[in-house]
Amino acid sequence: MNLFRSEEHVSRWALLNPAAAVEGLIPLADLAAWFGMESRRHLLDDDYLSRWYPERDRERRAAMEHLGKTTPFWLGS
Amino acid sequence: MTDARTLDRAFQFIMRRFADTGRGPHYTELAKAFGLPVEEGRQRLHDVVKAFSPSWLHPETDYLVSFPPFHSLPTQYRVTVDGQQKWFAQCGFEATAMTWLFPGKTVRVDAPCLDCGEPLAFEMRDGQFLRVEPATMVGHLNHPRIAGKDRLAFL
Repeated sequence: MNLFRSEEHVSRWALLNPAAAVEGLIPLADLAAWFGMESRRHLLDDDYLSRWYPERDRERRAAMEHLGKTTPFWLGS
Repeated sequence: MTDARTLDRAFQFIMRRFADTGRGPHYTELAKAFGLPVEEGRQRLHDVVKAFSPSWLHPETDYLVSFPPFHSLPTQYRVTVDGQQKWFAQCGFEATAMTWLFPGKTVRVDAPCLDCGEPLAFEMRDGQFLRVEPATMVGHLNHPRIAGKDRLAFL
């Protein structure tokens, strides 16, 4: 889960998993949308763990669907 | 089994400690903060880590390493707030969530590109990008997500 200067830099990365060369790419703006979903905005709430943390899996799936990343690679196996 | 309210309080103590200092607490500090015997503080740390994935202790220790979006050990993702660089993000993806821990402040993330070592950086405030250098910056997931094995994804 890393950041690179561009897609070209990803393709040249010495540790690149070839199976993830294209499928593993995600624009920075999409990352911010994913990691800016509602539950992330309450990390400093007193009831975060019981109230908001349980929402994260549902939110992650919704984000993945919104971003068109619905393969097992992104959704998990 | 620790009840939900107790876990909430311990979670918040840890998260705020990271936000304030850039490091997680030792379990003795958790014990002291909640008036617990030391061993109960240790157990509470384990309970919170178990309840909050993907956080983890250093293998075979009771030292808290990762508590997303924060990371006690240095990563390549250095976080600066108010001109102070004292935080590290767990990974590049979690780096974009740092903004929510510092409301109203400009959060800057600096990192070297793992391909060339040249710098990349972005600034956010309250979830909005203020600056991205270079504009071509992208995220990359190198291994498929496997339920229960989130740590693999950080490689």
